[in-house]
Amino acid sequence: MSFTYPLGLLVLVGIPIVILIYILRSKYNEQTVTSTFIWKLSERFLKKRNPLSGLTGLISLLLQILIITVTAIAIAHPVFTLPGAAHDYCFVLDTTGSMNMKEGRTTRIELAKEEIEDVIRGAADGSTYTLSCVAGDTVKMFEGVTNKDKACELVESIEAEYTSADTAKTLKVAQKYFDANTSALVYLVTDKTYGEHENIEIIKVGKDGHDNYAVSGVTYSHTAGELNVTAEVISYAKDATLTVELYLDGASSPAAFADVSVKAGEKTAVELGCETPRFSSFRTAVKNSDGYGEDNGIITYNIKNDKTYSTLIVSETGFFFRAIIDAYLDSEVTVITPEEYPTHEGSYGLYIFDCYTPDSLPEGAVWLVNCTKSIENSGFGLRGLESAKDGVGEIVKSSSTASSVRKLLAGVDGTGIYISEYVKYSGMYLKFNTLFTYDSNPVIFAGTNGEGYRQVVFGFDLHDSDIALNPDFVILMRNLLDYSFPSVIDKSGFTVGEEAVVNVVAGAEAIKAHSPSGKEIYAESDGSTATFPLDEVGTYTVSMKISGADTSYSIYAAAHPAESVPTVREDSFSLSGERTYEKRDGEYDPTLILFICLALLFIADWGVFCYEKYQLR
Amino acid sequence: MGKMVVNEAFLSEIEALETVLKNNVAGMFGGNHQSKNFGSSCEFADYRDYVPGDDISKIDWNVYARFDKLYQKLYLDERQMHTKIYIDASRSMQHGTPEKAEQAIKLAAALAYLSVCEMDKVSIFVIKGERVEEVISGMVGKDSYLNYINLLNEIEFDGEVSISDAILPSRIGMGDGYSVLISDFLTEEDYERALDKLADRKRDILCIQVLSREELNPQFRGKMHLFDSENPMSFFRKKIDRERVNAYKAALKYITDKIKNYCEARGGHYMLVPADTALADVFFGGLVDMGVLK
Repeated sequence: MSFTYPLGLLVLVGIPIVILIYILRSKYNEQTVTSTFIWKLSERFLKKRNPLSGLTGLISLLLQILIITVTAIAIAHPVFTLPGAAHDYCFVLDTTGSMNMKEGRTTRIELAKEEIEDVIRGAADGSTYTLSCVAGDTVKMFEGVTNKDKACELVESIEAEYTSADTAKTLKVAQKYFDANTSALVYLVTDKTYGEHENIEIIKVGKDGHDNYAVSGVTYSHTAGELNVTAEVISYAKDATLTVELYLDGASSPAAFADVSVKAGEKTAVELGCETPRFSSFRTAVKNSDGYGEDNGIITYNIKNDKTYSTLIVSETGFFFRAIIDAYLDSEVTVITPEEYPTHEGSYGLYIFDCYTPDSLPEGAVWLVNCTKSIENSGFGLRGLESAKDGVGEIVKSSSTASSVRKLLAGVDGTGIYISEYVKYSGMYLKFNTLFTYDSNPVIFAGTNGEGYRQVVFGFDLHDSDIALNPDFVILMRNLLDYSFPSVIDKSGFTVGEEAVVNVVAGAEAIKAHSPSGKEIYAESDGSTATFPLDEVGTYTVSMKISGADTSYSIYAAAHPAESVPTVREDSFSLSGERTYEKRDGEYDPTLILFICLALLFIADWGVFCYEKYQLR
Repeated sequence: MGKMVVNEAFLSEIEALETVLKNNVAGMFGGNHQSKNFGSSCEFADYRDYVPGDDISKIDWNVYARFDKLYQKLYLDERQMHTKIYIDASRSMQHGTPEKAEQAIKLAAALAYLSVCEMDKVSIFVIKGERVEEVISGMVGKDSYLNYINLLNEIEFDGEVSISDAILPSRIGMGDGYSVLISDFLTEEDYERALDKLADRKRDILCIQVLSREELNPQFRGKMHLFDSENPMSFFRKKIDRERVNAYKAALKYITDKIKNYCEARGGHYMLVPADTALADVFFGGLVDMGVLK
């Protein structure tokens, strides 16, 4: 036996105090009476005395000593060791999206928590409890907890996520526990069904065969004021007739709907259409109710509303660039000569300096074409003008597999582009993505300059090249314009578990996002883009401060399709290794019994007090 | 130190009491004052043989005519009664709330008043130690009563008392009234010889035992060391509990019954008066019921 709080035994000091009080109180009270004659005479009339009445004072003292002793022991919190009575419990809890599926009035995750708490409550004292949640990420909720209440409290705080996890990942977590302690009782609490299992106890929660309907693959076109939406719907459990509805801009009544018969487990396409000159979002949803509402609707946001453009071309002619911008963008384009630029006033989203080098970089995206002198914060230096070998040389497209490079060169063949002269650059002290090189020298590259704006550099005069005549020119220019005029978001529809990508546009100062549940998420940025994980089903709000002004964008994270399947059957879930059966020492906590004893002693003492006080009168 | 029990208010009280009693009973102490001797009143009592020298006016000539012998008529001697009231002035009488002494003085004063209203002679004594001290002697009439009764306030209650040793040598008188003994009778001392003597002298005996509420129903509990108020060397050291108190009450009943029986066996009366009982209750509820007042 050991004591958790040995200092509690100091309460025993109360025993001598009580004895002292008893002795002091046991003194005879002196009183003068008329005559002691009758009192003495009363001896003759005294009936045989109850032996208990003489002991009541002593019984009271004994009870009070016992009360103090039991109180001291209770405060000291004794714990008895029971050899080999306890276990190490390791729980692997499936917290994937399907655990949000409803089972009657509750959800599978709530059932799972109840099962775990039942195991914990039924375990011998002294056992340890470890629990990890497996979903998109594996989170160890607690490890080696011995306090049942604390463990149950932590279990109660668990919530299911919306992400997905495969069996291999779950198995890996469980195996890790088993490898660390082959005597541990490992539990997998999940809504999936496993045919066989070994070295692990599987607690299945939820019943199979629930209805679940889902919408996926939403695409749309919006031309001439007509919105056409295509989606796929599925019924997982049985054949059904589903009503699919289309809601515009958060309206409460559908703009269109369609009834579609689906076969169990088969995706069926459905088309919906309505007329609307413009929209900011629409929601495609299955009207039929089921046990998992997260996958019943998808909100699609119109991202084309976000772009605004204005361009300044500083060039003697500016013909090529103006032609391209006019063809591709709905943009305001201003063309001025280099002589006019120093006195020109105005702010633009994109500055194109064609064969002109400004003294300093403007505030905005910038294209530097055939730049011939160094500019502060441009991120590169100059070596000088070089002529191509043999008079003409072919520039070489970058073979980089970086996503940013691939995005900039998307659709560009990159062959057959020749130059006669080029500016040799050196000392690129900022990170740029090289798109084309000549003789290993970068001749077209892009990146973020020292002013924090996107910058594209052409190391040659377009007139010294045939690039403008090459079919790749239009494609390359479009890619570079997209790069220079990035939308904050390129895509509004994601699936839980993916990462949302937000373009860091010129002038962006701060980016943060809010999850559907209201959690604030700070995005990770590499300068040109920012990413953040999507863990919840619903609409994420992205807030970006651009040049001091707050702008918000919405993206929608749909439920993971794997989690929509209400019944998942796997063949087996077995942990490799040889099980051992070593038990740990259990504990027996007699606190409850001590408090019951204490209550009984108090009642007994009270009874003796009442007997002395009233019964004896 | 005086008690100041007898004051204007008290006198008004007993005067009112006397008025009420007068309307309800015929008289005090039996309603007449017939002596146990033959005298010169108008009430015929008996005959006796005439002897020379007797008053010839009291010869019954009708009887002489029938029996041819002289008989003299005897008439009851109607005398003035002499009520003697003895108050136990021991220290124990000072106990209780209110003190038993106060009740004793009140009772003595009230009985004296009722007696003087009947034109009886009243003497009041206190018993101190082994002797009887006269407080008021031969008080007759209301004027005398009012003049002397406040002497009762002067009585000092102190020391031990031996009732028999005090009364036996005193002038008790012979069959001419009531002897009222007011005490708590909480003593091992023998009071019976005094009662026997009073009975021998053909005195009407009235014993009034005055006890406080604390004595009738002790309230203290627990371990007690009880000292005797009259004798500090005498003590009782026990745990007082319900059983002990029951035994005490049984002992008290034994004592009171014993006194009562002893009095009644000698033609006397006994009355237990709690110290806090009102005089009206004492007289109507006790003395009238007993036949002391008729």
